[in-house]
Amino acid sequence: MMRKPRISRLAPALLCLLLLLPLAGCWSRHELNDISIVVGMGIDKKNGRYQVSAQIVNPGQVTQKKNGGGSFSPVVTYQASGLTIPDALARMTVKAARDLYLSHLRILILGEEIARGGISKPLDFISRNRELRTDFFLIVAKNASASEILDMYSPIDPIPSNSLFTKLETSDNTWSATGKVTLDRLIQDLSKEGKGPALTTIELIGKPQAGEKISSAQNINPAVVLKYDGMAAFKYDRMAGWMDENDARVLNFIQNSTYMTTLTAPCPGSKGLVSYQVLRSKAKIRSLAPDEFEVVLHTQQDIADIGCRLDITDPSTLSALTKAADEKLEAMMNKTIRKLQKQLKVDVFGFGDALHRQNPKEWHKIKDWNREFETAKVKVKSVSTIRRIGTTIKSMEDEIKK
Amino acid sequence: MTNQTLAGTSGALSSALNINAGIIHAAFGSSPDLIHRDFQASLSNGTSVEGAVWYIEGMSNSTFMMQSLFSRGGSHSDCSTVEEWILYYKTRVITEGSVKMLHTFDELYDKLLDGHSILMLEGSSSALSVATKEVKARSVEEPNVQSVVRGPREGFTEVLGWNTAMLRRKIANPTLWFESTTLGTVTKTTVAVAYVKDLVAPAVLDQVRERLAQIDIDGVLESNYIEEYIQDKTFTPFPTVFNTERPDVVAAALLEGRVAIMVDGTPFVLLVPALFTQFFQSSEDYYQRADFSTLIRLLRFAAFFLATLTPSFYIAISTFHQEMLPTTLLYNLASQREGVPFPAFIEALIMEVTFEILREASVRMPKTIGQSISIVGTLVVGQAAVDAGLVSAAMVIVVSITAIANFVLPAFNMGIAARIIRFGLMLLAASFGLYGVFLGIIAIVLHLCSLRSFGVPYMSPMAPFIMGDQKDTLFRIAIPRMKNRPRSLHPKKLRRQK
Repeated sequence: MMRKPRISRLAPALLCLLLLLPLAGCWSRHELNDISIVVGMGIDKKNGRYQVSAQIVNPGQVTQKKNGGGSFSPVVTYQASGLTIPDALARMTVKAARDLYLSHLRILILGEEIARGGISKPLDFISRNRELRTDFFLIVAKNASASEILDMYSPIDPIPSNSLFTKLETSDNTWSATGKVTLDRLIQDLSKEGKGPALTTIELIGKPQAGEKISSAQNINPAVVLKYDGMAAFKYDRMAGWMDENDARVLNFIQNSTYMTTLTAPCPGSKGLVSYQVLRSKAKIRSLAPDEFEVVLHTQQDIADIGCRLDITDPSTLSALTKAADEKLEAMMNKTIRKLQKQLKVDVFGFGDALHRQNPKEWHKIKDWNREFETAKVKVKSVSTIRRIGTTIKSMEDEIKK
Repeated sequence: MTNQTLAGTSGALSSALNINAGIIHAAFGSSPDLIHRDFQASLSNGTSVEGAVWYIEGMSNSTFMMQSLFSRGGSHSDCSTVEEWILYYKTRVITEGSVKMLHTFDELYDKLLDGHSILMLEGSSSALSVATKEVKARSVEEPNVQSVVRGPREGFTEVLGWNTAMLRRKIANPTLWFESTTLGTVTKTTVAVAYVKDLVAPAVLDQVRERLAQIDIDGVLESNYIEEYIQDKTFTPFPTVFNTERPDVVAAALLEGRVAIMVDGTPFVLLVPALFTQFFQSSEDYYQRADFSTLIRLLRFAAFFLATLTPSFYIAISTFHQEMLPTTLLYNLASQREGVPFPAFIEALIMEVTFEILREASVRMPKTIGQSISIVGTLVVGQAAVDAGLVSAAMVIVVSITAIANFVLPAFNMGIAARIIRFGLMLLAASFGLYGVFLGIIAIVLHLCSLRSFGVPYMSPMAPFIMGDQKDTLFRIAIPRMKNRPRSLHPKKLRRQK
């Protein structure tokens, strides 16, 4: 059967459709070479104004392989101050060459002043902006301004923000003493009554001026090092104080964000130290009464190192080692929980949250949880299991003394 | 009847040889390829009669006939009349297989043009046609376009008779029927409709007959002349008629209950109904093990998506949705785009059009200079364009993968559809980003679902979904387990096996 195309009827419709394409005007289109990729952002407060620094990648310098590397820096950091963060970012466009593109932000550094003065105001822009994803890390600068941290060259990785990002990720995965906090986690914690947020802390070691030059990345032993150091505990959106490495590790244990870590405890019955590799950990908070809690921490460990004479083939040795680990973990937890109850006076562990979930009636009677937390009784209990002892039975010490 | 008007003659043969000769020569405009040979035939009464033989040079081999005619000096002395002489000659002398008496000029022209030799005697109003036909054609060769690693190596030729024989050899069963018609008022091309009588869906066969009958055309030089007449919908980039030059493909299709349309003069045979998934199936799928064939088939579908979508996805993501890229990849792409003066869409268009030009050139140009074109093509389009800063290196990769993926499709005409769609989607991607691309995809899927091929929904057995046919759609399960013919084709007998 012959069917002729009804072009005469289709043509006007097609034309209208075709006209739609140019009329749309390629809204929100930006070519790759029209955008500045912001990888790091720092927020400080100076004289009541927000001081925003943005670290922008110079892609040509990052990926250049054949022309022997450029003489330009791989990143540029611009600064601008404004009454609000969008205000500051808008003012930054007079300095930056292209549109600031925030989707690939790796790290957001908050200055100590901002952290102490309240982070909810700057966070509003961060969570409202549609370009920003939620997978970047938020950190607090300790003893330095956020812009100083961003200005440091990093060895190995040419992009400092990227280096900060990967450094935090690897250390959190193997050591769990820092904690990585992304935007969605932070907002979740901020909105909870029974759990205060805690952000990773970064510290600058050395003279800041020495690290700003590209030559500093040429030293084998860098003059300035950026180091993650514990966390900052927040009461609502205001920073309450610093948590050291031990506190951060305990926090990670209790809120179940430990991926893998190393634990060192004294040898049972003799001098020397034993190291455990903690592979799995699971903590449970049980609320026994409104002011009484029990934390049970289940961990699975491998023995990583034995620094004393021990007959590991003897089953009683293993139980002694387990006990040593338990004692160490319980001591760590007790110390940190006391510190947060008495010194910082903020519940970053989520005891209140546990109460809220397990006993909502009692929870609603409480007016100020953090005050209740100060006097709450917390029992800790560690249940360790040793899984593997490694590829040798006798310790090195044992071998030599024979 | 057009033949008469063309020849300017009508009616029956005259008994006067010179009048007949004059009419024949006038009809052919004294073309030099019409050979006219005079001879003398002797009768028993001692008189000799004027006679003539006509044939077309190059189409017939009249050596044997001429030998028999002149071996005894044309004397068949026991014949007393002209009619007797012709009858004697027809029954006793001639060795060729098919001999026929003709009475009209129409018959005469048809036979003459078919390669027969025509013999006429003075005083007789009938002519003798002798089948001296000799076909000069390409022999059976390996198919050029649809080649396989494992499988039959023969392809159809330009001669219809050989093609039907090849098919007959594959399906040695009297239920394989051919229906022959002549199409083209001037070319008089023979078109054969082939089907297996016990399997074919009657509705489809009626449709084919009906649509063929409605064709009004002066010449049929290739099967596409017919394809464009009989296809269901002309306003679509997707082919709704399948074509192949492989006898095994046609045989397999006939066994599924399809109808083949064979045209004299072209090795490409049409198969209907043609479904979307059929264009992703190669005959080799059935000549390799099922597991391998299934994987290859899935690969082809993936390649089809790559061939249609890669450039538009690249444009959309690199100009609208940079947040979708992994950060390190973004640095790389961004550094490549430094210094490229055009927007990604123009960049893609330049590369795509350049590639289309190269491909078209490599199809049309003499084979001997193919080498130089490919060198220029790879150097200019590949390296130099990137070095000159006209396009980014990533775009070259995108265009290359698109081009290579396009050639994975076993059916060339489905590849063309992918090419056409690609440009439309690129335009949508440049205007609306992924939103536009997905709107385009939805429109294409709706369009595909609206198509039909000879009454069968184009997207079946996927839409409408037919569970039994899934055995041979995306997957190709083991042949012993394919117990039924495709239900979507409505064959007369569904069971393949007992």
